[in-house]
Amino acid sequence: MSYDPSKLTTGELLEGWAAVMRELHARDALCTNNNPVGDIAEVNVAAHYAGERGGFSQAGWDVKTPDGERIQVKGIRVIGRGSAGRSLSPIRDTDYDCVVVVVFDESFRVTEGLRITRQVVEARFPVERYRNARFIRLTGALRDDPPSKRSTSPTPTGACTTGKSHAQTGRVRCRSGAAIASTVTAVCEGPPVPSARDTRRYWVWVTGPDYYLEDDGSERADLDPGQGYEPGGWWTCHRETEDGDLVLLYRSRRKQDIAYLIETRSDAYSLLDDEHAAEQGWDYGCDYEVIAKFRRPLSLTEMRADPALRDWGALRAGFRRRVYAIPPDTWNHLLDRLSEDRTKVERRRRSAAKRYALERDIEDRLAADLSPFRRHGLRLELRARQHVCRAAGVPISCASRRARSAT
Amino acid sequence: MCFETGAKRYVIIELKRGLVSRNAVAQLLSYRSSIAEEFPVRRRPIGVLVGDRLDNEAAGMIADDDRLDFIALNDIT
Repeated sequence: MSYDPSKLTTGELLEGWAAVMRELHARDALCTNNNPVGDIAEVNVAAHYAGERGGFSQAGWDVKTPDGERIQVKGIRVIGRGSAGRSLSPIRDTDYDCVVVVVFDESFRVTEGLRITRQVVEARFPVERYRNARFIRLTGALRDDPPSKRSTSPTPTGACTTGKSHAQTGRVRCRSGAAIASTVTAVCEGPPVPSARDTRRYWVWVTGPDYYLEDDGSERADLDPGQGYEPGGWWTCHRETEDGDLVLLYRSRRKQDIAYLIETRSDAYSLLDDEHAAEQGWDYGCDYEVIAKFRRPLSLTEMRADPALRDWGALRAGFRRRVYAIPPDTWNHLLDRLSEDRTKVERRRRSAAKRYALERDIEDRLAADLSPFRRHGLRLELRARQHVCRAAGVPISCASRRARSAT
Repeated sequence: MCFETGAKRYVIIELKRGLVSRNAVAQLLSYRSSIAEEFPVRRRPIGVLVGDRLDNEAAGMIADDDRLDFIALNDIT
């Protein structure tokens, strides 16, 4: 018999919800009356490590392993793919050794587990003074950070592991604790685990000649890859863009082709307080790094002649908007056509991501502890990171923010 | 962007991995003048480049400006 909530009244739905919560309590899957995500994540982690769950007397850790490792557990239920759901609850204590993040889909199936050492947490996520807490944000850069271990690695370091025998089907396998085996099985048997590539989104940014050509008509040298990430360089983007998303740059009007591969270096942020951006009608911006300039760009004519791209919305619309999402299949097809060697392009991307993660790591460490500057006679207080300057009524970036936008 | 409590002035820190070139110095000069305009305090801000090493041109530019400094990454990490 199928369960169809749309046929129930609101009262019946709430009664059903209360009954489900009672039953989960009775089965020890929940131990609070709060949002159940955290409890269910703790159940998973405790079962995986065969550890004990903490009580209310200690706030710092939630699960202690048989080896005595104290784990703070964070659960997140991702509905759709809004970036708003990717910040975790606050960390206010220091009584823990590592954080394990369990990511659920809407139906409480585990899609990802991430184990982050306390050292990495403290280096990457400084205490936000006005909230007196650290907030972990699940970004591509964090996932690329070597000390963070994803559950999708063959080594069982995360909350759940993908066993070798399961690797092809990509199903999550959890080690069950005896007392809660049924609960764990229920929440851990999930859909295919997304690979690192599947967790990011793909976009095409459409830009006009002002932003891809120099005044003399030559191609802009500062768009060539290999110059590293320039903090503050930003481009207008879709509001759902996240750090680590991949982008193809479509050059409108004079060139009419796709010529660059870009990786975003931040989530989308609002440009509302930027007068210049507001005047242009730009609402969101993203930091970015150019990864590759294709030796042979893909022209609009070639794309239109390609049957595999016939249904791609951006192409059908003639690249009129500033930004379009690219479905994964279309992305793969475009990359196959653009790259002479996809392995080489991917290697370049990984190398850039690693260097970027290292730079961020150094910056995070220095931002968290400025005392090393004392040796050089500087007693410093941090006032801002990546501050955007405004001088003489014109927004100027302290990190040479150069706005790049569409058509 | 930091504030030096003793000297009561802003300090703009730019982190660059690898060889630091004149472009990085020019970038820092631009930030420094923007901060000076945005936050007018009695003492003018200084700029500090943090990186692996300086190329000759960058080293010359820093030597010629007493409100610019370079700190090797090794010294503070």
